Amino acid sequence: MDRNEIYADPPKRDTVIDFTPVLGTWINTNTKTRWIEKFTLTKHDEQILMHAYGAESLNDWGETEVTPFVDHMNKENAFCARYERNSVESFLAANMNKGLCIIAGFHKFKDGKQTDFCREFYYRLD
Amino acid sequence: MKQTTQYAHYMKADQQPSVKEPLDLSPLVGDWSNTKPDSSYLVRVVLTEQDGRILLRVYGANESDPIDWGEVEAVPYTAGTSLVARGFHAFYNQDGIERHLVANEKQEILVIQSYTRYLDGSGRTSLFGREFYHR
Repeated sequence: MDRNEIYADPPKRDTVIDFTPVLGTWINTNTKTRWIEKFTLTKHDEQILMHAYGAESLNDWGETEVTPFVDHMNKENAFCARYERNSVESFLAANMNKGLCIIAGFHKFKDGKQTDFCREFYYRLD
Repeated sequence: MKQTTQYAHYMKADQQPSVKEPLDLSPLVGDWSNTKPDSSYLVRVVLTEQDGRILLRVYGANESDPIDWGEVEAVPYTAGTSLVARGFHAFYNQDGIERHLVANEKQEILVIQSYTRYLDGSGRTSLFGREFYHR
C-alpha cells in the first residue's frame, strides 16, 4: 500500500459515477441565507457544471465545473467546486444525504477580510 | 462620502469585517481520534498552532499501524463575524492522489469530509468520505 492511501474499500475501478440523480435545480432551505440561494447542476458532454446564485436578488455567480465523487458504498454522490469572484475565492464541498444537498462553503477574501465558513442545506426543485 | 465597491458576483455574506486581530484557533487545535475505531479513512488527526498558522498532520487507516501522511498547512475559517476558527480546508497531493480535507468543529466534535481523486493511473473512482473525531 502506498503511504498515503486511505485503507478503504472504494468502488471498483470501472465504476462510473452516475450523477444523473443530482442534476437539476437546488434551493436553499434557509430563505434568509447570506450565501448561495439557488444553484443548478447540468451535464454537458462529460462535464458537470454548477451555476450558482448568491443572496441578494439572485446575484449570478456564473458557471463552474464540478468534480464528482461517490462514497465507498457507491450510494451517495458528492462534489467539489471552486469559484473565483472578484475579491473572494470560494471552495464548495458538497455531499448528498437523504435527498438533500449539503454544501460546506469555505470563503477566502483577498482584501484582508477574515475567512468565512458556512454549511447549508438544499432541496431539489425538479 | 464613503465609497463602496460594487461587485458583479456578490452575496450578502461578502460584507465581512477586516481582520485586525489573529483568529482564535483553539477550537481546532488538538489530537483528534476517529469516533469509529475501525474506520477505513483517517484514524487520527493532529492540529497544532505555530506562529498564528495551523498545521495539520493526519494518519490514514492501515492493517497494521496507521500511516503518517506528513504535515501540511491548513487554512482556518471562521463562522460568521466572530474571530473564532470553526473549520479548516487543507490539501494533500501525494503520489498522484489529490485530497481535499474540509472540516468543521461543533460541540467538541470535528467533522472531516475527504474528497479524493486518484490521478495515479489506477483508474480508481473519486472517493468521498465523512467522519467524526473527538479529542
